[in-house]
Amino acid sequence: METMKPPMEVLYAKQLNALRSHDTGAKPPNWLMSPRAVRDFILGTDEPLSYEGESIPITKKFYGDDVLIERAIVTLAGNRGLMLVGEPGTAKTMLSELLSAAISGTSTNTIQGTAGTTEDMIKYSWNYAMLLDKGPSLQALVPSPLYTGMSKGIITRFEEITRCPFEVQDVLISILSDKVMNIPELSDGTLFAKPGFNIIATANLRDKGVNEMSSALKRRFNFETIAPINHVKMEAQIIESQAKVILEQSGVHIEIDRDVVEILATTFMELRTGETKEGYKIDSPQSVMSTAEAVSVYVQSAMTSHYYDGRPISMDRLVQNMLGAVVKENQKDANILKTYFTKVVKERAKEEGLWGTYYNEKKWIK
Amino acid sequence: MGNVLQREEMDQINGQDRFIKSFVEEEVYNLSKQVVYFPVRHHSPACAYHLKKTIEEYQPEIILIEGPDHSNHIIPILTDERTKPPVSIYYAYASGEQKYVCYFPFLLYSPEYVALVEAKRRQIPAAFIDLSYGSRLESLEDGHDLKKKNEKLSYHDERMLTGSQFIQRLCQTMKCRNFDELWEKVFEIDGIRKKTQDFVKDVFAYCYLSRKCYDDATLEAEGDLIREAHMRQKIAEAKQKHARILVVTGGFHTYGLLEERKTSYKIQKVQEEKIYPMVYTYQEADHLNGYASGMPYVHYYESVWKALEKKEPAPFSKSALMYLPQLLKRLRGKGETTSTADAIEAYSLMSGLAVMREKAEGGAYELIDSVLSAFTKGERSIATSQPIETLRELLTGDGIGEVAPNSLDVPIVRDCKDRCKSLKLAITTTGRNQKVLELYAKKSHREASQFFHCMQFLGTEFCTKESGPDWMTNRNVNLVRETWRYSYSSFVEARLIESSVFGGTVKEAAAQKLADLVKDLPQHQSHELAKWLLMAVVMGLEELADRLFVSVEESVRQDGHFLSLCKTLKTLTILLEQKRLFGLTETERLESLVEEVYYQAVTKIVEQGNPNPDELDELADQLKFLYMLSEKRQADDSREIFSDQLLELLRNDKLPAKLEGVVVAILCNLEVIEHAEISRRARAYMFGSPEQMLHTAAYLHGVFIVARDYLFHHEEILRDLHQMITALAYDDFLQVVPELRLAFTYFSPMEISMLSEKVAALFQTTVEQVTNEVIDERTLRDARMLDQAIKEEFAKWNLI
Repeated sequence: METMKPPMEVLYAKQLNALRSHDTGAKPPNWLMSPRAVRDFILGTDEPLSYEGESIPITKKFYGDDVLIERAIVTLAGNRGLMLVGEPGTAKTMLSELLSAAISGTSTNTIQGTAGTTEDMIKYSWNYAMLLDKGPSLQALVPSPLYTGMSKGIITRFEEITRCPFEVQDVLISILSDKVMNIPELSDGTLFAKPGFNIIATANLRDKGVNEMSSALKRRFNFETIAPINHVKMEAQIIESQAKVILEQSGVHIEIDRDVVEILATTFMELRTGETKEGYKIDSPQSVMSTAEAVSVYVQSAMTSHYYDGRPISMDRLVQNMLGAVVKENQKDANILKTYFTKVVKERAKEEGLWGTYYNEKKWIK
Repeated sequence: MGNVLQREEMDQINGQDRFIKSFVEEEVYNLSKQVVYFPVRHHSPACAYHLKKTIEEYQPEIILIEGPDHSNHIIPILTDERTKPPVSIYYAYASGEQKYVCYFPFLLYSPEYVALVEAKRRQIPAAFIDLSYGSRLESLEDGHDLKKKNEKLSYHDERMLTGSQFIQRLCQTMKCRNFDELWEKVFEIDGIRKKTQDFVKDVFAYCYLSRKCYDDATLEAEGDLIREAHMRQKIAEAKQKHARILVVTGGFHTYGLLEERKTSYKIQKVQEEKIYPMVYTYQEADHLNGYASGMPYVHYYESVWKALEKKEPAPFSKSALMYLPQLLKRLRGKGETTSTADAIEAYSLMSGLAVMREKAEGGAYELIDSVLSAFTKGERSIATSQPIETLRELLTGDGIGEVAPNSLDVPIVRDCKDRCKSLKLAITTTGRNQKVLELYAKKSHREASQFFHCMQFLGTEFCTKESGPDWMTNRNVNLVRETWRYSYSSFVEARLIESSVFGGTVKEAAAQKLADLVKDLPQHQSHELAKWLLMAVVMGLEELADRLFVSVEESVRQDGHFLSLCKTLKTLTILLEQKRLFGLTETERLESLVEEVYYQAVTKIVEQGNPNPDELDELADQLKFLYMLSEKRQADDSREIFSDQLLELLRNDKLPAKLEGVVVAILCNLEVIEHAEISRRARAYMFGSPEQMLHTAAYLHGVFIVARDYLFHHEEILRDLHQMITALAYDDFLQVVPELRLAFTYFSPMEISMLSEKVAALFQTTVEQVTNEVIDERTLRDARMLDQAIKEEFAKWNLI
């Protein structure tokens, strides 16, 4: 079936199969791969692996702190859940998808946390027709992703946990420590988690204080903080590879312009860190200047150029779309972007090629 | 190491593996040969472990160690049972004006130290064979990095070993974050599980390949070649006398010692290099503190070494098991919420990480990673960094070593330690300690204060005063307690050793240093001498204080400067007032000197008629001080002289207005002139010529310095002031306003409010009206314009 965004286990099916066929390491119960193979899947290997007569390169999928990945994998093999925290757009969700795809073979067993999430969405609910007809029974029970994770011994992903109300979050406390879920409506209503079950939760630092987690719940998780990338080349590489995938999925087959990507990555990083590469201080906008946001700016600009102008990505489209990404929360952010152009871009426009074209499009920032 | 090197790096270096293997087997570690070379990394427990096994097996007749050959006499002190590492040898060498110092640290598990201890146990000789520190500096052209003025440097500099490109690439391939992790993985955790022969081969291979990244010119410039030539010569000498020689050097030099080289070097002999055994701290030994010699996490590796000595099968896990409960305890002490479950989780994570990273057991890096994951509750930030910071503190350790008493013991260091002991100051750990001294209540606290002041004066960086009276600047003198922060380290000890030229005890050294300082002071500046006299008394240097007192007496007679005399008088008055605190029993001479300086100063008042404008403020302050002093004095004649002198000064027509204000106010207070005189003179300025009018503020300023209460009893001055300000032109007002404002800053908030009442009464209004915020000019203008606009509008509608 054609999908807009195939899950990780489908997208990287070949790599996963190749790794599994070469995996000789010890596997924790119910894991499809050894921890070392999971690491290789996420961080890539130097040499391609052969699988069914084909040479499959294992690509690097996560850029940043490699040691963090090792800790995250080992945490999942243990008793505690894994909590990924960080600024928006730092690839927390992607990492959790990669981990569950590699470990359990599925990244879709997911609870999507919202302010409206209720306890039965997390535990289980009922097929009311069957419930009224036959009374409470296993057949009438509608399992939640958490229920499924526990019964099958696979990873359950819990997205945006801090968007959920406290009461709902706290359902996880006893489940994580006792690995058991009680279903009082059923006579033998106790679900013991199968080995291999664990939870990967993600939480956004911008939501801090909205629904702060209880310390009891915090104790049941190991925390890993994902920091934004602070390396222009690395960020450019991510923008390039991700934009390529998204554009191809959208049916836009165009080459990625590396010079444009580098300018985009530089702008985003400098605005995010509040410091130019020359070491001068600049103002940072309130909006999230994440790598994910940069990817979306690139994709949108490429698509508008492609559909409306019939040409590859152009600087005017880039600046127009960038404005939409930067000026979201506060009108003052437009001014910050304008100042950035006047102070930093103008200076670079004197020497470096494409920066001049970039500066000429300042007119779009109003 | 085999598998490491046989990966990519070894593929690139064709044939090197075979060469290394045969070279090690035949030349380096051939136990049937007369000389066995044992390559080490400084402060590596695995090297120490295999070295000990080698000594056992080879049974050497002598052990030669990389270390300055002129410090062999220190060896018996280092191996004394009462010496507790970490300790170090301190080298100080002076060349002309420049002074160079460096340290040779020994930890319990340093291979060099283990070799020394083993040699003693087996009753065989051990000797250092490297160039002396001074020769090493002097024999190199343009000097070396070691040649940095007063920078703390280690004798073992490993940058050449750890900084090569080869290592950086190796770290990437081995998925290690830095060289230390790589070393721990390959040489420590795996190393202790290898046969000694294989271990030596691996260490040699790694050092040899690192060395190959540098060309001969670099090695020569860094001084490696000349040192190796010297060591080769020493080994050759030993070969004449001994049948089995074990040479323990940094692995970087092993190949250099065996290499055929014809170049000969001229070694500069150096005289007068100072060498002392001294303590060292775990913190200093931790290379993360920036000394680039040896491994970090010193305390952790010491516990690994102890576990190795006990033949524990998994020494690294055993050590981790020891640190986790300690971490819990310390974190709870700091008010953090942690549970045993966190420690259990961390331990299990550690094992998991070790398996994933293909390590036989988890080392320091797995311990750090697992604590980071299991103990951090929330995003990583300063607020959640306590567990990891505390763990790092524990892994580094905060202890200080101990050197056995010996003939080379520097007396001043011993004295310092004895005094710390008797004053109950904690110097066995490196943490910053606090001591609060109740100066007036306890004699022992006064002694401690004297000791702290001496140590501070000697520049040892042992202590800093956080609060308490500062007699030298006459600040906070109302405080009765002193709070000091102090911490002992080898740095303090080194500074003490340097101060030993001044004397054998802390007190003697401080006295001598102060005496040297005072020697060059000009005789006629009595206030400088008096200041140092006070310093001597604060430091409890009675004998010097007596001598300085005589100097002050003599100096006062030659001092003709009014301000200098006043400052001297102030210092001497402090001494007299605080005689109990400073333990001055006989004060007759002091009292008579105070008397003498008072008369000397007072009789010079009349000469101050035309002072330097820069000194005006100080002069006013000193006159006020003399007035306060004369108030306290009983003798009538002393007050009389004072007032006569002031009257005489007042007759001077050119007297600056400010000084005039001070003098008039003092004379009024002394009841020599009428109070009305203050107002009369004020009026003379206010209603005089325009130039004179501008001096009003300065005059009032002078009056308020001494007698600010005058304003409350004589309201006419306020009325006059109002009249004057009203009459002032705009520009003149701007000129006079800063000084006027300054004059009124002497009043306390209470007095300001009283003053407001007076002003309010003068204008027949309320205090609130007077003290209301002033409306700014723009608002006033806006209001006027609005008013005008409304009027026009009203007029248009015929409403007015």
